[in-house]
Amino acid sequence: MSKVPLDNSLLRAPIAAILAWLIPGLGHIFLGHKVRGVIFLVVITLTFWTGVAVGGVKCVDPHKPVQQQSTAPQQRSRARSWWFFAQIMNGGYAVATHAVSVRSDRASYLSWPSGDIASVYTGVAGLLNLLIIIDALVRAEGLALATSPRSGTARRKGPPKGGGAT
Amino acid sequence: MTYALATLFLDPIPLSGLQRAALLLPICLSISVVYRTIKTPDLRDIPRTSLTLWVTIVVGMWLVALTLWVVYLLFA
Repeated sequence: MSKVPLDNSLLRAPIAAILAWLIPGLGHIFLGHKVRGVIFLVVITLTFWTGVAVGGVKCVDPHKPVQQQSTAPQQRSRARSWWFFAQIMNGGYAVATHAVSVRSDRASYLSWPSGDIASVYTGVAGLLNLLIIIDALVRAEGLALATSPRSGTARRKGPPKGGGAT
Repeated sequence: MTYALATLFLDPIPLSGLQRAALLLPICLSISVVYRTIKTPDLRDIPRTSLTLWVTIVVGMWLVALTLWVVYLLFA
């Protein structure tokens, strides 16, 4: 079910992936899956910015220690940097938040528990966006994972749209 | 207005215990909606399947938490 009027299918997948990384859902919109793209855009945007609202912009910063920490500072700092790898998958949102965080003169620590909850929210949003990027790549390649024969819904509704997964 | 909006994203929000527990619900909803939007071929099925998955995740997590709490009470 390719809806993209692009002849060069080699460029379609990387462009969709980059767009999906920059703004969640934009890759799907580019590929013609507008409704899915808008759903991803709304859900990831709400999840990420809810996290930032709960923990402040400092939650997207790998080097900031946590106030009232129960474990050693080095351990917490390392854990924070692992979350940053997940957060950075939000692309444009994460880069913008990190830029504001670096320039912010706000408190140099993350308060507990808001900081931890914010890291989880923004990190999970990033990991979900990674799934969305992979899905955009798969759809761009015409594999259509969502219509896999393993899906119970696909069997109930008849033949899958856009061909099954190889 | 703009300043208030900016402040919302700059400073952490102090949370009570109940508010922390309530924040489990939206993140589970996000996970279920994204997962079902990827996996469901028919767009009309997304709300129903997402809601089912959301309830399953939330109930499952509460059951795990309850079990661990009971185990803690028994062995603490």
